[in-house]
Amino acid sequence: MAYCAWCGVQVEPGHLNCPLCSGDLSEGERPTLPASQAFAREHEAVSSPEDLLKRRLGMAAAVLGAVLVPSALVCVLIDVIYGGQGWSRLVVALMMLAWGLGIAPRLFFRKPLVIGLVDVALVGLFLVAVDLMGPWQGWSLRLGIPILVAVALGVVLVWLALRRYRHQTGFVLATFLGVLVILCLVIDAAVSSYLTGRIELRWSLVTLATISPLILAAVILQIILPRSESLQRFLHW
Amino acid sequence: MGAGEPAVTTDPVPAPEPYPGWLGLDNSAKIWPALLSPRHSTMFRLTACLAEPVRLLWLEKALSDIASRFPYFQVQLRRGVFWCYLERNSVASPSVEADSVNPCMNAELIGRGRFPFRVRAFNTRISVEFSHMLTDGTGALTFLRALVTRYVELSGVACSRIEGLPHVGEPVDPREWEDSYQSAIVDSPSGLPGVPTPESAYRVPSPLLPAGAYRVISGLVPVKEILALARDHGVSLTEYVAAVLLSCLQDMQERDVAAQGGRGRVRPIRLTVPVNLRPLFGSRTMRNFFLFVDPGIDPRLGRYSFEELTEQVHHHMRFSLQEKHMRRLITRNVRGERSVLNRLMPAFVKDVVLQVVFHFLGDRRYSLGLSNLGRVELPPEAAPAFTHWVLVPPPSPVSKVNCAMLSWQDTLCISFGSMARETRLERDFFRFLSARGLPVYVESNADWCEHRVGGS
Ligand SMILES: [Zn+2]
Repeated sequence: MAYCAWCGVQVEPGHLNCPLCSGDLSEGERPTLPASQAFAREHEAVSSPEDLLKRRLGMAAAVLGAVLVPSALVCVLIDVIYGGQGWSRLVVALMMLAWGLGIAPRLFFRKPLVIGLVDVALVGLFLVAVDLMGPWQGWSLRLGIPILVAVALGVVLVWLALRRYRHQTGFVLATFLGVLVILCLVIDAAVSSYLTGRIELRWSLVTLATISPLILAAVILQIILPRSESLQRFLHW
Repeated sequence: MGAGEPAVTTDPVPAPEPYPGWLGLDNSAKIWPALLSPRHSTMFRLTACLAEPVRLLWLEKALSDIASRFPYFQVQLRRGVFWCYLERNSVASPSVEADSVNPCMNAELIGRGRFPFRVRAFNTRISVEFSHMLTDGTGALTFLRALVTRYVELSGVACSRIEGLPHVGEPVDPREWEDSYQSAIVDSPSGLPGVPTPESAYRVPSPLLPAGAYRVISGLVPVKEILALARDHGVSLTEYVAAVLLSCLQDMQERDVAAQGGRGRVRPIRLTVPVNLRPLFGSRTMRNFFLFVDPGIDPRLGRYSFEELTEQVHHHMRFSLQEKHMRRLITRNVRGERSVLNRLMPAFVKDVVLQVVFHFLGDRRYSLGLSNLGRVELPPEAAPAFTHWVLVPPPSPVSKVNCAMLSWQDTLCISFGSMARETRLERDFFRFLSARGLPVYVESNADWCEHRVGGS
């Protein structure tokens, strides 16, 4: 039987060379094992993903603050020196908003609902602040805040549906589409009431007409699906 | 014995089976359809080597006899809108195929009338190649054991029944096709601790063989002698082999880094060892039910002596095999599968996403896979018909090399399946064993695998 002296193994008949080292069979000397060498490299600290995320969020907030505060001060300075038109107020508000949104995830770590509420409140405050500065006053209360609240409520609704109907895709889909339609209606109503003083729905009715059959289909599918095996098999998820 | 005719001609009584018309893939199988490619066949292979040449007629009869005992393998893979699923195949069993130079390659797995596994015969060898979409090593081994036991029975040897070997004609236990992952999860309202994602590991640096080529090098060593070596270090066989692999990889990385003038990056070395969960959770399933544990070392902390390696592997394995730890991993996996985002994605989108996720989070974290299926048990009357058994790991183009082993009586077979051109790891591994006085017998398709890509 063939023998590889390099590897010290017997090889099944039929091989021209050793499968391990490609060396000639039954020829050569037995090699010594590779000598080991002393070895050490840099050492990296290990931390849990949770800590890492927390630290990264904290760092991001700090960096954001470090960038935003000086640049806001510089803007105010320039604005005051060159005439004081007051445009720096907008910059400062924007930067405060960005900073607030940036530190919320670290301040309220792992509390998505609180972070969401804080974010909504911050954006609301920002809208009001911009409104007070700008030439057309009053739009924030009649246009901005309602849309903001509607969007926030919609997100919460979809989230609740995901939790409640996690195994019933049809209902989740229906909720999502329903929220989308209602959002369109609210935006349309708010815009028209702000512009003309009357609530007139126009383009949102088109969305309503297109999407409601889909909602209906999703609900029906969800109800039929448990009863049809072939459909289940094809659509199982 | 008549030349070609099977000795036993009475058909087994088909048992009534409540097996459903279709099943979704189990938790660990769900990722595979997305990764299917000519290089990533998801198939592994089990071979029973007989003392005499295989008689095809008996094998075909044995295959059709046991088909009704394994209704959950009588399936075809189909693509649904969101996931692939297993559907009852109108054909009872695949026909026996001729073997090829490159095992586990060139398989059409999805589609009507196809099977996610195949039975192959060559010379004295009966092989089954199963896709991981259908079952794991334990499931496939049970199937092959039942197949060859039936084959031996057909040759005229009456075999006694042994525990854990499905018998033709007995009713099928519905627990055999359950997705045991789903019943092993924990549902804690206060959430669960996350599972840290390890960074990418050192992998054998080598160009790949041409697509379609899969080189297998198997070494046969006496169980008693290698077990004695393992006992010297106070570890199990799997732990010993894992430590040897880690040692070879550590040396290999050192040499690679030294060859680059010390500028090369030193990475952790991590094995991925599938663990059969059936005993731990009292499951009887014949579908996938395993998890990976990942013993490894970080050579950035310094060089590990072999003593340290065995110790590291031993304690890591002991620690990882706790039921609670396993439940945590299973829960994470099942939650991933059940996440709404993942489920709502149509299958073709999911394929792309899973490919990306797997590329960055999956195989990259591991240097090498090592699976040990343990001892093959057959009825004592059937045993003399076999010389040894072989397990070939599934090909992986990412880690390139995988290792698998199983033992039959006093022969342990350690096989490397590789898509790398280089054979350094295999060479170092078997040299390590032979240097410690173990007689090693090597069989391989190395001389031919590159030149017989595609066909038989
Ligand atoms: Zn050799």
